[in-house]
Amino acid sequence: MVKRILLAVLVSCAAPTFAATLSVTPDYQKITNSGVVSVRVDGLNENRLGGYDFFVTWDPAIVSLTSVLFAAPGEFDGLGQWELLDLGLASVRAVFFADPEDLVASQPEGFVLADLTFAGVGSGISLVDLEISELTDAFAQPFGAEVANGAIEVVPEPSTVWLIAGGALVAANRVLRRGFRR
Amino acid sequence: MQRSLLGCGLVCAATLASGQVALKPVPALQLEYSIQTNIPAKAAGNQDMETLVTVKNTAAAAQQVMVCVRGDSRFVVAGRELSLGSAVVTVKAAGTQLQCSKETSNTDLDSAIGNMGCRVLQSLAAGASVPLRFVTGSLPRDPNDRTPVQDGISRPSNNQREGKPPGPAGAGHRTRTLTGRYKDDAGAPIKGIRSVREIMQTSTVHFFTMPVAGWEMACLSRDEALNRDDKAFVAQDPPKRDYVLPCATPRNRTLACNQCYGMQTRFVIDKNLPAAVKHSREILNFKDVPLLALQRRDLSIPIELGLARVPPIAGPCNVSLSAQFIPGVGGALAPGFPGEPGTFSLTPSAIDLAAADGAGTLSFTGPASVPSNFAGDFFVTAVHADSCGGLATPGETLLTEWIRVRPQLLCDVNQSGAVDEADIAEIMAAIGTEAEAGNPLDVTGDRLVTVSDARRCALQCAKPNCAP
Repeated sequence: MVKRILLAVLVSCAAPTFAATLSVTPDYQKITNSGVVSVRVDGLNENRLGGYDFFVTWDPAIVSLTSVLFAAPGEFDGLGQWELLDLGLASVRAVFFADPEDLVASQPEGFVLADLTFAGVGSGISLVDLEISELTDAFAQPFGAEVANGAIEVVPEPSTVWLIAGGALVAANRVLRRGFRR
Repeated sequence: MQRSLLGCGLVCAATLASGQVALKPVPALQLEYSIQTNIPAKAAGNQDMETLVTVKNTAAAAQQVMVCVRGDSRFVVAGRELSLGSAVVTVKAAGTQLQCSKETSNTDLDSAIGNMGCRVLQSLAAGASVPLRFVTGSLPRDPNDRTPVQDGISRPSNNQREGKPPGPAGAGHRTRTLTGRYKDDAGAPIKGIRSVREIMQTSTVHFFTMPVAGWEMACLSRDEALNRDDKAFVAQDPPKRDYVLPCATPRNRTLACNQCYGMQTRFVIDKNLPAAVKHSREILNFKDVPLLALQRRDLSIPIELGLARVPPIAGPCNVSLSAQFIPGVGGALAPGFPGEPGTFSLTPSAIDLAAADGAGTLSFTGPASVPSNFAGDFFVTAVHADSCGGLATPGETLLTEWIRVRPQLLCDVNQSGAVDEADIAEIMAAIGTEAEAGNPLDVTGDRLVTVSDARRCALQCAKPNCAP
């Protein structure tokens, strides 16, 4: 028991804890052709968010990132950029132009940063992982955050399933008929 | 006063007299030209940016001319020198075809170098001038009719940052988004992605004269013009199709297939073309490098020269380079100026272009600290030093170039005199790159460009919401 408590204390000391969280929502979803996951930030402190830069990774054999829609709560002007760095890897970043006072007064503690649209290219489950490069607050001071990843499962369309099942039935029928003839 | 007199010279005099940009001779061809870059032009939805090339036929008879333009979007990675490839004219013997190919390589894709296309003037009358517009990119339309921000800059890919070879096609490219400011055609605010075609900020113009009658030009379809890697690149990210506009007329027999521009374009010209190749020449490799900014990343400027080599040049073909410094108001960097803190040098002083293109470098050497009030201009001249096997006249000016020297304000990356969203866009595009001390991209001074630099500079914008 004492060992467990000590271990817990050590773990809590080793890993930094952050109030803010960057998360993929929903954390799991099934799609056929395409689906959208949102990346949102929650638990911002009083200095809010002035800009962000994070990486997204996924399994390129299962899904592909087709577009990124940036959100700007409070109608703030800003500049967002996203870039495919490699297969299954993209960089997403944005900065808000608003004055710190306006940003602090108007920005909520949590909001959606961007909607990422993925298209299914194969079947299976692809993780959608986030890696923070840097978050910066309204006063241009960097801060850290926890990360909560998600997953997308690509399933064949029902029509495709029926086609496969139909084909299997036809094949089975032929095999059975051959057996009867013999 | 001294600057205005010395700084204008013959070029400015001609400009003032005609009210237009002065035409320059195309060496060894009976053509004159002028080139103007980054001209805003209204278009539905977006605002196009254009390069305007004016071509004048100085021959006594009509000529058939092909003009090809390509460019790169500046913000070259520190320490990396990019060279623009040539327009390649090849004979396809089996089909008696001439192919003007300006295919984009992976390096080009990584470095945001693109083809703006070619135009064929089937018959340019003697003494006639024709303006040719090449679209270099487009920006989101601003409903308030303000000049849209130009953020056409190249972001180095991860591989470039690490000094590795270019990665898969598409690396280094990005889709830019301006949130909140712009509205779509229906008037709704654009909060999300608005794909912006690359803005080519410099232009290289190539001239070909092709005295062959009865041409037919085919503008290859987009898919045909894409190589394998690019197809995967486009398939993975459909918005990148903006880089390669569909050809409106797949096979245009009027030789005016001017919609066929983009990162990848090939033109095929049929009929009896070996003869055309014999007479076609790549005459001029003109690279506009207008700015030398001390206290920032550029302490030297490459100057590239290209010359006609079809047919091959016999013997040496030396071009001498010289630079004249015209100090600006308060400028203190003129060579020989009292208290001069450093020196400029242009090396080498001569280049032999007989077998290959050449390059010179204008560089600054001196102490790290330079006066904050330095300003001035270099006037670089390249002159033929010999006859180049009979192709040129000794003493003939091949090209001239102005290189501006301006002070650098913190966060004012593009040296416009004020911090606005264009500067923030440059910083955003450079995120992840290392920065030397004093680099205006790295306002936090941690030697790395981060989103905090972008945010800190956003707080220094001259106007609310970093409006231009």
